[in-house]
Amino acid sequence: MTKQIELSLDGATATATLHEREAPKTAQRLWDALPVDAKFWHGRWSGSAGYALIPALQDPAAPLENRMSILAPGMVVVRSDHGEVMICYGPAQVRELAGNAWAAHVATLDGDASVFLAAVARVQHAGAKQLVVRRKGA
Amino acid sequence: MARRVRVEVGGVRAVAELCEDLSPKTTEAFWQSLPIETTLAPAKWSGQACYFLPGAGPLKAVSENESPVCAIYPGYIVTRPGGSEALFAYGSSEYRWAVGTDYVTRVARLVEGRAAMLRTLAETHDSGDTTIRISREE
Repeated sequence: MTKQIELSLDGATATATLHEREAPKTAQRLWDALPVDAKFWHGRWSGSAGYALIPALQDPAAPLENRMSILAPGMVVVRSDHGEVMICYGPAQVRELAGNAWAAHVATLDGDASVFLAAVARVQHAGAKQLVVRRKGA
Repeated sequence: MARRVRVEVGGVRAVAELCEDLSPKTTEAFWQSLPIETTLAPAKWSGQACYFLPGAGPLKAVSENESPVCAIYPGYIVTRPGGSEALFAYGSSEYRWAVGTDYVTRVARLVEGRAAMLRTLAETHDSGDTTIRISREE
């Protein structure tokens, strides 16, 4: 059965489906790390995306599965080198000081997630918020 | 001696010197635009920097960069042609937007109160928007 996660930020909630076939190890590591309650900032290099640092996801030796650089709204990606989960709400690319980078596309938000994505966007101007991610139904 | 401006962000004051030798037209237009009081927001493509909109004024008439650079050193205020945007760096920063790296003009650099101002700018990553006021130091 497909695994789903529930994400909550600043009063908004969305669900996302894990890409277990395309990113099996990353999806399993994220699933095993849940629930998490982490500070969520707006990105400084990558455009319209926010991120949280989750130490349990940090593994510089982890394979880069389902790799993406250009992101689309609703994509949830993991940078195992940083232990970072990014959520994209608009034009975005995984970037860092040195230039363009990659991340594992581990999940996609389900259905109309516009209210949740608006909460992600607000973080740029309103400041960091707490992101809660749990297994759906848990 | 180069003209100086007073910079105030979140109750912290600093003094910056205009980069008149590098950017004579832009610094003159910037000087004529003062005082500026507007929202200072965290940048989302350019790294450790904040941005503000200097407003429709003399900068609008400066249509080209002077001594163009991509890297923005901590404590420097830079502008885009036409005064469409100004950035104020507090750490590693390069002017970028969705399509990649671009050029800016150096307008001023902090010469007094630098450390406290850089800390205050860095706090916007956590706290979001604040207000910046720039006035002539005469």
